Amino acid sequence: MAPPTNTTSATAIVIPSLDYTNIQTGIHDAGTTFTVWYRYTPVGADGIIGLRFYGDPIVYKPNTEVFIDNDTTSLGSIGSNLMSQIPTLTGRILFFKVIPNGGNPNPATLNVSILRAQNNLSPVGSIFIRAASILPSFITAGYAGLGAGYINDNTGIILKFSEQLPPGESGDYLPTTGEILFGDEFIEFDRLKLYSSSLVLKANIVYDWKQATPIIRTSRETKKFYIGSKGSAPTFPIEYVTVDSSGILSSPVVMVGFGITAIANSHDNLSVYVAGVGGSVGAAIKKWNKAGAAFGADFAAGVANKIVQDLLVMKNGEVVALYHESATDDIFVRVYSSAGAILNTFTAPVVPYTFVSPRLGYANDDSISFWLFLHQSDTFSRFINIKLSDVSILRNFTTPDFSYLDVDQGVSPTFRFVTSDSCPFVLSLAVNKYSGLYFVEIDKTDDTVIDGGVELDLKIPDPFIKTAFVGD
Amino acid sequence: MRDHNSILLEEFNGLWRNGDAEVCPIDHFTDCENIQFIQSGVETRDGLNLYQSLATALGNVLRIYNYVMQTGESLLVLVEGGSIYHVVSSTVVHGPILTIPAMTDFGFVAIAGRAFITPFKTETNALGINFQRGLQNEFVYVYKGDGTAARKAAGPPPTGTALVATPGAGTFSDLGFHIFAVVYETDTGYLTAPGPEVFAKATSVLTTQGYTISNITIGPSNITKRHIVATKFIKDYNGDQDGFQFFFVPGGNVDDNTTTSKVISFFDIDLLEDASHLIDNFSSIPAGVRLTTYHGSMVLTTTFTDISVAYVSHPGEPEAIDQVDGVLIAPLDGNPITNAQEFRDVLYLFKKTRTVGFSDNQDVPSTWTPFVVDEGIGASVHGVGTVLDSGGVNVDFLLIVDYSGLMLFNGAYTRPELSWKIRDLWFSFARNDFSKIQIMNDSLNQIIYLTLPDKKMLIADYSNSMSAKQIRWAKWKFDIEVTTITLVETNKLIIGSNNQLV
Repeated sequence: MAPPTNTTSATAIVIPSLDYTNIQTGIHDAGTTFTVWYRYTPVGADGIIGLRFYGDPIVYKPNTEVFIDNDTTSLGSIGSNLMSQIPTLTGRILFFKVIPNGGNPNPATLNVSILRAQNNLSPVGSIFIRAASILPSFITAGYAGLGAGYINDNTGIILKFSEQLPPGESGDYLPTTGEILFGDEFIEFDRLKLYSSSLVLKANIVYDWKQATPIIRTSRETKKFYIGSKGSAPTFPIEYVTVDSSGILSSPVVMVGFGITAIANSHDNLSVYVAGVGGSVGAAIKKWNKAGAAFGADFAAGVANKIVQDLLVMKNGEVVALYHESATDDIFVRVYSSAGAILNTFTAPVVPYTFVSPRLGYANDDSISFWLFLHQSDTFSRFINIKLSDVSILRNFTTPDFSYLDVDQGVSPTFRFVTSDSCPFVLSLAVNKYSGLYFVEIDKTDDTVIDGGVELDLKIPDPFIKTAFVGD
Repeated sequence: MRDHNSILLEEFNGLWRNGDAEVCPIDHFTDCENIQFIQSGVETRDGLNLYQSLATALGNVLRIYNYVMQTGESLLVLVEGGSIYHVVSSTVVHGPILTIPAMTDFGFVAIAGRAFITPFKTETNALGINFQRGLQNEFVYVYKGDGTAARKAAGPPPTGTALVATPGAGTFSDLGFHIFAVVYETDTGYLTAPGPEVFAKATSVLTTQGYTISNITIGPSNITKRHIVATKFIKDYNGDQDGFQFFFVPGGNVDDNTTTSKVISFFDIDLLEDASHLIDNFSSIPAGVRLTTYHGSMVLTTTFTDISVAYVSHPGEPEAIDQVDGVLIAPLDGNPITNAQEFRDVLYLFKKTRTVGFSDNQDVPSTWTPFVVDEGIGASVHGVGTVLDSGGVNVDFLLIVDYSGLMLFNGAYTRPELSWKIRDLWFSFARNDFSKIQIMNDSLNQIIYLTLPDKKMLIADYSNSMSAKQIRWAKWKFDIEVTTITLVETNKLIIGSNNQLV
């Protein structure tokens, strides 16, 4: 058998369009297993694409290096027999260099599969997760970020991806309007980015949060985002700022101490809950008195060996705190009254978890419930929707996360696209109020509109005529 | 009232916004909202209802078109974020069938039940003037109406392993040197240029033998057939495989996308159907702004690189656009073509303040000579009135949205403009926002609907007469914000809304 022809970038097999599959044989010839090349020129409709260059489970297990524009500008490598997903830049050629494992494996049959990501409707309330981080090579190549996934909030099925959102570990959304605030922690640094519910950038706000990531939590009552800076000892103590739905940044409020693991504004707007000050493990939940500009008595005492990873303040003033001990995979949620009394405790399933911190998030049900986001070590993330009043489980599902792609999933992987196992997550309220499709119905005497999935019958706005007639 | 002389108003003739309020005739309104006309009177306009069920409702609607399939009417809906959905009924939605994040608007035409879609957006030039052109590095797409994703219209030629022709099999052929190639046929009937990169060459030495064509490449999944094409006998081959005329070989069809060899027999005299024109066709049609039809051809205007060019396909083959012969050039005045419309056997191209016509001379489009219709009046991007659901010509005029007003066009523009009564209101619309004005003409009820830049609507009732004097205007306002309209089921007005949160 002759050697393969696509052994250089110049002779790469051209992928004409997506979705694309190919089985290439003859990669091994006369004692040599060759490196082979493929190339593809993305079009605008491609969005996020999934890459898979798979050999077989035992003998031929190639690695793949992905290049952009030419055969020298590398975006990164995909491990042996593994998968990846990347956003595309229209017209920017991607080269795929498929490198055999050592020892000239034979036989060598390459299974190539490049797919566009699914692109389904994402109903209001879908869970939305952006990527946690990005390789510098992508930024250098001109990427504005990575794909962010929408997850069905009933099934865990990944519905679609947005394109190129700046990655990071911070963010929250305003439950009433759907606006989202993310920290840009990789592309521009020290920028808070305020998006509409449909991810239109509304404001790009400069704020130096001193460390790698800020902490962002919505205040429902004030309709503002609270952004906590962990400070930087010994020069910069912890502080917080706020951003409103217009993108207006407040002046910093400098507090006392260093380090924050969670922050949230109180229901009465008189104080700010802060956890992790002076050391994350076993730290109390403190209460910063706004008027007195000082910490008062602790809101809740620290729990030995536990880190408070997240805080929520619910509509009724109750406070939800997430406790986590990584070494023992011990995770539980406490619901406190506004006075600090423990009302309920929810204990997460005892399974192995990754080192990635669990997170809390607001649900889209006017504070009846909240979400808990867990990172299992079986390549899946688990979302549990917990009822505030009795911590009973309302919804509970798993969804494949990024670690799924880091494991050889065999000949027939169940999933090709995953969301980040990052935190935090927000809910997408991407349908604007009253937007949609309507028709004019003859003899109908009111306007029926849709608002957040609910029909409303509205009076036809003020029909009138005005004449200039004044008479003789 | 004592000594008061009553005046009887027997007619209400709509909104008047031309000059001071004092000059408003007594049977007109200085202002009005949310009314519709009934014979001599007015009443509150009809109410809105939801077009979709709650479970399937789309939001953030930017553009809608009535997509007439061979099985009935439906909607193509562009939503914020650049996704197009196919709304088949109130409960059935396909898609998105196409997502291009940069797409904020699109052009559309339905031909033989297939939807052709071109993505575009609004840009701003150095003078701060908005204009529209096709997205850079984007293309025209074709959607089959079956819920599967739209794909790029046209298609690349076969590529890959060199084609091989071996004399011997088969039963007859003319002696001598011939060149062979393969043409793909897509699931929408498009014929690609010949391929692969290296054509087959073979010399027949026996008239009792044909050829075996092998290494026929397998195409992408949308390829349904392959066709063998061949030259006639070439006496002196100069090595330029593209420099000869190709013909479809009778019996040279490969009616699948899996077979890799085919035995063919033919005499040169049998080669009648020319395939050479396929070489010059776009393999990917660049995105533009306006899609329409003319004499059975598809017309595309205003690509990213050629804003004054319209491309015309081969008649009956909407995806086959010759890059050389299929070109029409509007006057190069630096302004993009905004619209195109067939009317009374003439293809009219519009710019913002210019109208030119082209007539089919039965030769290729590049030989058609433009004639100037008007150098002061043009149309906006969505500003050619669509009559019912047929595309604009079943009554003897077009309605044109021009900077100076709503114009009636019957081969020439008539004055005064239909919007003369509301001239001041019309002139208050920002010229940069005229692309937001979309016009629909319900010629059954004799009402013109217009979306406005402020996301309200204007209606014009011409049941008394289609004249500047008799037409009756009114404003409509909703709690929703209107971005786009269309008519379905003959005269049912569909409204798309994209309210922004506050």
